[in-house]
Amino acid sequence: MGRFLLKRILQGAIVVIGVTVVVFVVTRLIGDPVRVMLPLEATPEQRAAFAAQLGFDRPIYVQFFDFIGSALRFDFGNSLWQDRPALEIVLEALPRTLLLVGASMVLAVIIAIPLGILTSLRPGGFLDRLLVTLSLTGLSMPNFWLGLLLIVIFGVQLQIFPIFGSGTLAHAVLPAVTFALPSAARLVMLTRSAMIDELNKSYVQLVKAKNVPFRRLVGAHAFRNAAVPVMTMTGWEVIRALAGYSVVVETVFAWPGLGFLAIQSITRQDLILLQAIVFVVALMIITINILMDLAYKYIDPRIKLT
Amino acid sequence: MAQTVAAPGMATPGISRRFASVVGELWKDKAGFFGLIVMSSLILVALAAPLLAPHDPAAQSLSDRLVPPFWLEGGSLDHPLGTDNLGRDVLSRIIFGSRVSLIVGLGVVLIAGTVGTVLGLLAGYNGGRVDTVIMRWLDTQLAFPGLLLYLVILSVVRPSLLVLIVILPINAWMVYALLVRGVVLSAKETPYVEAAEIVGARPRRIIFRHILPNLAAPLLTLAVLEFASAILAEAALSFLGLGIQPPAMSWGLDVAIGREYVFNAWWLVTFPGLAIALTVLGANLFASWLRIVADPHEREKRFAAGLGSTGGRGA
Repeated sequence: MGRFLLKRILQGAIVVIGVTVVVFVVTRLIGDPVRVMLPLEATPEQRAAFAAQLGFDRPIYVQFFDFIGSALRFDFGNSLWQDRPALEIVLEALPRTLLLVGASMVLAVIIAIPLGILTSLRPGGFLDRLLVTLSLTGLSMPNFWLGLLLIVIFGVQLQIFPIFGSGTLAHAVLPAVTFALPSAARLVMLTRSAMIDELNKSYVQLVKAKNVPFRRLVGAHAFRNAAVPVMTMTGWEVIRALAGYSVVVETVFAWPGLGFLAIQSITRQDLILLQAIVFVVALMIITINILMDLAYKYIDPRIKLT
Repeated sequence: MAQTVAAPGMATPGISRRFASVVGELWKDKAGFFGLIVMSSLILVALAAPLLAPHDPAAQSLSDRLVPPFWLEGGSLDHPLGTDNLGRDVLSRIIFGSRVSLIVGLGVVLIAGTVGTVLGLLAGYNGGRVDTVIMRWLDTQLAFPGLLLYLVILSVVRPSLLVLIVILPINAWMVYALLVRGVVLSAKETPYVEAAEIVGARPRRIIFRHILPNLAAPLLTLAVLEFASAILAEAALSFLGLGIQPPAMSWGLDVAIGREYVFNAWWLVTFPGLAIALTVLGANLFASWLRIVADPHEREKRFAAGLGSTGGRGA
């Protein structure tokens, strides 16, 4: 167990350093940070002063080690846009994103697992075909469009929910649903196929032969085994949401989380803030990956952690 | 007379029967048929855009701003799906926007598919150190925050159609490599590949003659699915203002424009988004049909179950 954790944390560290290196290469070698962060009309003197202030005039290898070193100390420097430590801004936005992603994943799981089990009991039946069609349709909608449709229907036409910003619980409903629906669609499909696989296994025949009630057969035997892939997928859904969908969905609803902050940092030409966001999100992804592995062991004691 | 008519059919029973069975199968599977129709219409519309579009998609008309679709009051058949904030025809913009989707989809699939297939073949066939290096790389990159890295790149490089086609494969190659490696590993264990190795066939011959044919069906299916993913990614980036830049046209960009008018002109976000959703749905349905038809095992299962196809993306 201890060795496993150590190994995973080491792998995680490699990923974080990898992300940092990529960010450095892209922002310092492919792009010119001074050109990106200063307005077009800046004079050469202003540019030189800016470069000196942020250390962009030093040799590139000095900048590289300095960049990696300060990233690992969580010291990203001050945001240009808000003139305070970038990490501080990121840590303010992070809970809002986690709240949204957490709420929507709970919603997705509550919707998807019962529906997935239900459809698996009668593959090819009416309910099964209806849900599979609905899931496929849901998956085909771009999530920003789904969000805007919800805004048009529930915010503008019916005026049930507020449509922009945050503050009250009602503000979170539409963005959470926008996050949850595609995840729920994927989870329904997966739960369905995992359950169909389980129900066709021979131990189910044995359990049936022992006259165990059907509810117990499905819930305690088949689903317990199907839960492992379903959980993996849920973990991936969280990662997907953090690593990308949050940018789009939060921008649609002007929800002040990490994703919206990323877009704002680009429009404000604040590379320092963007770097801090990418770093923190990479850390989150690694943490979730490790937690997922630990959870497997808990659900299925046969799994050996190596 | 009857004899002469029958003769050509007798000469090529295999081909005509096969063709008829493919068409018959497609027709039986309404969802797959719908997918095929959508995919072919996308190509047709993109190619024939100037002929089909009722207006110049860039032509502004200040007197015709925010005209609703024709079935609403104030709308007319002159602009069947209405006009945007600058009086541009929504339908024409959707017709021309299909070109960007098609080009990005094809470009990304081509680049990512080639890179991923080559790396997957190398990893799977060679094994050993090559495999270890490629798989380690892949495992590390899978944990990267994909979209955020696109954002970092797009914050320093001016976004354009070409830039999108170049950067989207940075993440997209991985699924191909995983798929190809898996198929190669299992194909390598088959008796016919072992036999080919024993009689001394060169690696190149084994890869091209014996292993690649196994890949055709799963790769084609994956390519169609990834075509849809690339369209979605382009639309999302364009929506965020980090993809296609005006005056160029893209469905995602049009949704972003319409967002400003969501209170009084719902059609501006609805129709371009519908075009994206329809295209992606078509590709998904076509791919799930392809997956079943092209895979003998799946066909058998389906035949045994006696059902229509209701597959879809598992992952």
